[in-house]
Parts: sequence; C-alpha cells; structure tokens
Amino acid sequence: MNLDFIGRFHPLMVHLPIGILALAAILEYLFPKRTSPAQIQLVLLIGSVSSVLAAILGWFLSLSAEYDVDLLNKHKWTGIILSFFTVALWAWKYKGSDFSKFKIISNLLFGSMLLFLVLAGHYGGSLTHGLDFLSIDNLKYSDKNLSNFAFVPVTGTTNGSVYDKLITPILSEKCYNCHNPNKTKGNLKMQTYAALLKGGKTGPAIVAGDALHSELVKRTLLDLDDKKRMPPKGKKQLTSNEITLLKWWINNGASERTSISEAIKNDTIHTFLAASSEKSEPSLGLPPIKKADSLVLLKLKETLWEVNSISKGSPYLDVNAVSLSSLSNQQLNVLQEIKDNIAWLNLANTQINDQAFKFISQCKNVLKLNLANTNTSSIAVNDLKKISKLQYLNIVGTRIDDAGLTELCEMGSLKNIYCWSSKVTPNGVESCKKKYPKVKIDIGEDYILVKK
Amino acid sequence: MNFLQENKQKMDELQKIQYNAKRRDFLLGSAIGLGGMALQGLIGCKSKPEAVKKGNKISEPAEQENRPLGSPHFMPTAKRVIYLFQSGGPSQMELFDYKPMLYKMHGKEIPPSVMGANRVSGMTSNQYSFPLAMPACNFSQYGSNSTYLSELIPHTASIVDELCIVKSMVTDQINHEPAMIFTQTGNQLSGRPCIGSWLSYGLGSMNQNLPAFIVMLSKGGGDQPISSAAWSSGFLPSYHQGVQFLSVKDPVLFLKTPDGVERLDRRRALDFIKQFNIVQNEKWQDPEIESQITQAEMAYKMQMAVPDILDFSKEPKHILDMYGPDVTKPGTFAHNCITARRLIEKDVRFVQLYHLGWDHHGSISSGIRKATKQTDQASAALVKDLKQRGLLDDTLVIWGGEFGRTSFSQGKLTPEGFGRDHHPGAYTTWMAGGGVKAGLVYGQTDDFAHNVVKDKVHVHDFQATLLYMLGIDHEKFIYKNEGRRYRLTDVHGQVIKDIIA
Repeated sequence: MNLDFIGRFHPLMVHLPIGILALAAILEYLFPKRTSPAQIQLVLLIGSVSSVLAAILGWFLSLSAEYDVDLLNKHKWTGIILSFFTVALWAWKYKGSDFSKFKIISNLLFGSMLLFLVLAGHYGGSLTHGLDFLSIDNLKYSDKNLSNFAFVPVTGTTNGSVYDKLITPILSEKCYNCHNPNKTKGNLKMQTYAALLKGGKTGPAIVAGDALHSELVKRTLLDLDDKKRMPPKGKKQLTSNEITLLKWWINNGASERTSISEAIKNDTIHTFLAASSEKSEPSLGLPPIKKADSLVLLKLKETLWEVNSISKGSPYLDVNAVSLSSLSNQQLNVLQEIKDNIAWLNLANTQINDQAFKFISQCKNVLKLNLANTNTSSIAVNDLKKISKLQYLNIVGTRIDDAGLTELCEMGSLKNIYCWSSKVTPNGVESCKKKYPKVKIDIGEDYILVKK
Repeated sequence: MNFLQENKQKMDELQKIQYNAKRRDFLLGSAIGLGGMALQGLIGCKSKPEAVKKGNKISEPAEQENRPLGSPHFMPTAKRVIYLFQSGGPSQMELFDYKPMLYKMHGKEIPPSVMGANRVSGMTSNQYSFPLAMPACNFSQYGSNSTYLSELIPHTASIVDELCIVKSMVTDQINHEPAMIFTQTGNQLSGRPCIGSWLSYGLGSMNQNLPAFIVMLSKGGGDQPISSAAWSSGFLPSYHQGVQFLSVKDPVLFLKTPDGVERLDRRRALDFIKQFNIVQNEKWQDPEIESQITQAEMAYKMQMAVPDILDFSKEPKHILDMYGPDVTKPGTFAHNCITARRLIEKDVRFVQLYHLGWDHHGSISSGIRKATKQTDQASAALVKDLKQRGLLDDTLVIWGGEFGRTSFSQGKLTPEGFGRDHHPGAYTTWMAGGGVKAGLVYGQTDDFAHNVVKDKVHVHDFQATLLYMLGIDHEKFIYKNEGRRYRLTDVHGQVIKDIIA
C-alpha cells in the first residue's frame, strides 16, 4: 500500500473537520444555554482528531507532486496550523472549568481556529478547482461561453492562428482542469505552447508531424478503461471532430502560427470548421416550466387525445385532436390542467366554434394552432389575439374573413397564416401582405409555370 | 344468463390450456431445455428464462437501448414524411441536372478522366464504346431562381420555388434491389429495418386508429421487381413493418364486417383470442405474440378509420383535377398521391409510395416520357395541396430513386433507341416542406452529370438528415440485436444542415 494512495482519502476526510469545527463554534456561541461544556469538549475532540487525520492524509497526497508548490505550501501550512489550534482549543476546554475567568483566551483560540479553517479550506479549494473558481467574473464568463467554447464560429476570414482559435479552446475545455500550473497531473502543464512541447512524465505531449506518436492524440484513442486514457473515464471526452483536428494540426507541423485562412484550404480542416460553426439543434424557444402531470396525460390519451412531448425532457406538448372529430367546446376543458404546457395545438376538423376560444386563449404558450375546417369566424379573433406567442395559424376552411385576417396580422407574433378556402379574399390577402410584409399568408396560390 | 354461461365456457377453455401447458412443461423442459435457452437468446426474446439470467452472462442491452424514443431528441421540423420513391433509377440528365456539354459532345466518347475507375454494371461491361448521349428533351429556366428543369416535368417546374433539389446524391450500389434496400434500410442486404419502421418504432403513431407506416405501390409503371423487404421491420417488432395498401379498388381487404356479424361480435372474438395470446405470451415471452395482439387491435380500429380515408366522394372536382386524369383509377400513382395526402391529414407518420418504371436501358426518350406523364402532375399536386392546407410546414415530401443513370449511351446511340445504364456516382433527389430550405439547389456534378464535384450527399447522409428533421439524432437512435448495435445509418452519416431552413 503506498502513501500516495492513502493520501487520496484526503479529499474525503477533509470535509469532516470543516463541518465539525464549525458545529463547535455554532454550539458555543449561538446555543450556549443548550449545551454543556462537556458536550462542546466532545465535539472539539472529534474535530481535533479528524483535522489531524486530514492533515496527515493531506501530507501523503502532497507527495505525489502534482500540484503547484506555492499554493500547496500555503494549504499545507494553514492546515497544520489549523490542526494545532484545534488541539490547543480542545486542551484548553479540557481544563476549561478551572480557567473559566479567562474567557478571552477561549475566544481567541476559537477565532484563530475559524480563521485558519477558512484559509486552509479556501487554498484547498483553489488547488482542486483552480484559482479563479471563486470569482464572479469567472461565473459570468462560464455562463456565456463555456457551452460553446469549443465551437466559436470560425470561418475562412477569421484572423488568428489555428493554435489560438481552435486548439486552445479544445484543450481549455477538456484538459486544463487537471493540467495547469496549479494542478499538474502527470507533471504535465498544457496552458502554453512551450509547456505542450516540454510535456510531462512520459515525454512531450506533441511530436510535430507525427500525431500518432504524440501523447496528446495517442491518449485520446486508448480504450476508455485504459489507465493512460485521457481524458480519463468519467470526464468529458474529446469528440471525433476534435481529435481529427488535433491530428491534422500535429501532422502538419503543430505550428503555433499556421493561420486559419491558410489552413481552411485543406479539406479536412474545412469540413471541421463547417461542422464546428453549424447551427445548434432546433428548439421551441419557450422558457422552462413545470412538466404536466403524467396521470393527466395518461387520462387524455385514454380518451383519444394524441398528446406527445415536443422533445425528450421538454415540458411542452403537441396536443392533437385528430381522432376526435366529434369534439365539442365543453370537452376542451379536459385540457385545463395542461393549458400552459401546450405548444402545438391541432383542433382541425372538430365541432368547436367561436365560444371555444374563451378557453383556447388561456393557453398562452401555444405557438402553432390548427383550426382548419372548424366553425370558427372572425368573432374568435379577439380571443385569438390573446395568444401572444402564436406563430403559425391554420384557418383553412373556416369563416374568418378579411377583417379578421387584418386583425390577426396586427398581432405581430404570427409568421404563417394559412387561409385557403376560408372567407378571406385574394384582395384581403394582398392588402395584408402590403401592410404586414413579415407575415407569410397562404391562400392557396395558383402555381403558374414561370419560364425565364 | 347467456353471458354467464359464455364466460364459464371461456374459463374452462383457458384452464384447459393451462393444464396442457403444465403437462407439456416437463417434456419441453428436458428435451429442448438447454438448446431452447440458447435459441431464445439468439432470436432475441424479451425476458430470458431464469436459468440464463442467473447463469450464463449474456451481455444485456444498456438502459436506453432497445427502447422506443417516445419523443424526439430535439424539436422536430417535420412530423410526417411522404416518400415518393421512384424505383428504377430516374435519369438525372433528362430531369433535373442540365448539362449543355452533353449536347456539345453528343456521340463522342466519355473522357477517361470523367469515367475514372467507376464501376459499370454487367449490362454495359462488355461494351467497347461509351458515347455520350445528349438528353432526350429540352431544358428551360423556371422559378424565381431561374433553375434549369426539363420540359418533361412542367408541373414540378411550377413548384420549383418550394423544392430543395439535391443534385449530388451518391450511393454504393449499382443494381436495383440492393440499391433500393440500401436507400431504405442503410444496408445493401435485406434484413434490416427500413426508415418507416425505424420511425414507427422510435416515435410511434400519432393516430391511435391508424398504423404509423403505410406503403402503396403504383401499378402501370414498369416491371422491375420490388420486394417487401424494402418495407420490412427487420429485427424490430414486426408490427412496425409497413402496412401495404393494395393497388386495387379495395386497398384494404375485409374492411366490412360480413353480413350477419355485428361489430360487437368482432370485439368479443378479438378479446377472446387476446386472452389466449396473453397466456401464450406469459409462457414464451415472444415479442411476436405482442405484435400479433397489436396487429389484431389495429385491424379492428382500421375497420373504422380506413373507409373514411378511402372515400373520395367529398373531394371537390378542382382538387381531383390537380392530381391529373389518373386520380380516379385505383392503384395509379396519382390515386396513391391523393390517398397519401388524406393519410397525412390523419397524422400518419410515414407514407411510402413506390412508383416503378424508371429503368430506361433502352428507348429512354419514350420511356421517360411515359414515366413523367404518370408522376409529374400528381407529385406536384401533392406538394401544392399540402401547402394550401398548411400541412407542408411539418410534412416532408421526398421524391427520388435508388441511383441515377449514365451520361453515356447503353447500346447503340440512336435518337429514339438509345438508353442509359445504372449509375450510382451521381443522381438527383428533391425534397419539399418539413423544414428544408425551399428554392434551394444543393450540390453540383461535373459537366457530364457523372461525378459529384461539390457537396456530396451520400445515402447515409441523406438518412441522417431525414432523421434530424424528425428531431432524431441518428447517432443516438440504436437497437441492439444479436449482440450488435444497429443504427439506420450504421456507422456513417453526416447531417447536411445546409439544406435545413
């Protein structure tokens, strides 16, 4: 059993004294009347033992030499001093009853202990999570950029080098956490180009011109269970696209300066850039809300409603009455409990009429609404206008007329209106199109063969 | 009273089965016990017998595998698909891919640099000369982007602004059957699930009264073979295979209950049979028994839902006219197109049409005129009809075959008699609706429409993109069978995001 291994229990042990010593202080100062000195003594005894144990384990862990020496020293010594104060405090309290008039000494000891508890804890945190972990700037930065850090859209016209703009973001996202000046696993730092060339325990990370003999690439291709696999199992892995890019960069000299405009001439890199700047997957663009009760959904399905989540995990629903041709206004009430969850609503070919819109207008998150072939007239428009997010509206075969169409166009949110075989006239459509060019209105255009 | 008696009788019969089962168990257990266990593992029964569970370690599928997705991975832009499959290999040179060079070099040998090391089919492999042949028709420019299209497809030309024309399709196979199976299942050999089955399995039906996947073949096209392997569910539960509507007056047989049989009787008979099936299922755990139960229920529901769909009497004349004169003849492409629209209106997930008759090895000039006459008007009408109903928004229409044709002549180059051989290296497919970019021409071939020079779209890329539009990440849509994980795109496929709006 080597000491290094035992040392790995330090992160586990270290949380005990933090909690227990804090508890001692809380009992002593916040609940003096409810605790006896003997009880506090006992808490302090457990605290002392655990803090000394944690310090010893920490010492073992520090032998692995994977951490920044400066920061490590700070953590080590604050930790040792903390143990010292804890033991001293316990010893003092042990004799407490005799020296009770020297309350000030007890207070001083408590104060110092807490101070070093905070210091040692903070330095320890900085060692594992990085120096900038506890800063507001960092938080803002990660919120905005972390998710698409590796995918900054890069095009042929982007200035800068492949290393700066493409390689660094990948390494930063997937490698820096364990290979930085503060935490140097395998004695490898990666944050500068020079550090990569210098490498770690097993030699340089990159061998220019030979990707498959470069540790940087080799390690990513090992079996996931292999001890040398990087990033190790459980950590975020490199994508095949990223590995392709790393390979290409190393095989082509691993230069710090190759510019993007030059690299994009190559097919591999062109494909990579095309892939990395691609749009993200389509989404509804609605805020997260509470999911609908699954029992309610089950009941709806039993009564022939077709209810499906828009996508996995989404609280929003696609609600469809395709099998309910006899659906009446009153029967819409079953949707009451899920009304906020409905994003797409299809009521085409049902028996609903203008009175139904009292309820429908309460479904405030509906983006697509299909009313085709229902007994809907322009009277419903007033209510329809309350669905403020509505983007797609199908009024094919309804009795909505030109006046209704104009009002709908005023809403602003609508992008597509389908009004074929309704009471809307081609003239009405024309004037709406002129007034509201952003709304696409389809009245079933005649497709004429346009030869050029 | 009658009812009680009936119930008692039912119980007796059930008990008999159970008793018989017990009696047989011993024999079965000792005779085929071990072999049976192995077999069950091989044919993929759902829950394995106790002994296997405890003893031999069989690699179990992971939590997420072999489970329908239920909902898509992300928001779909297309909820339904109509795939107008043009079987036989429509010639890209006569339809979509305008190449002036072919007129100029008519009769000259195809340059070796263009021909390359491309595979030719057995039908031209003993040909010594490969003379280029100019298209058997003229081209004009149509639509707001002045897209060149053949005069043979005027109706399609009229909707060119709705289409996304992919000119750079590429496949791996040069013969019909494997190429078609490849397009439909992602594998050249039959046996894997086709696109419609994958979708039916993964996303399920959107209308409890109709199957999620319906297939229609049109007659009167051509005579090259087409096999039901193209709409097979492969290793997926068999109720996900395409339900075929026949090309006759009654596309679905036995929709009407016979005289003297009440619908209630049907229901009771079904319930009774179901009980037997459930008993069998408890014993054998064979997913095919579940398929059988589901199919019977579906057939019962279809008796109600289908007659309504096949009744065109309420279709106004101007709508029928849009689809062309064939629309009233059951089994024609036009008839199937309007049926497809009616099915889509009922939210059927995947409607697959097959039109044969694009295999023009000889006399392409007359052959392609016949094929376009049968398909052009109805294809375009379907897109227009969906659009005016507001359904094109989330319905993807695909029009294309299994491969293209050669720019050189098969056989002797005579104006009327010349033909074109199979060519997997470049062909054209168009899509409309469902979130594709309208009015886009994607990809480019060389001056001879022989090789793709820009934005190649391999069949696997096409399939990945199709799934993407339905909200599915093709790399995460996996089914494990016989110890191997399968995807529609196998281990290939890149989503072509450039064609998505």
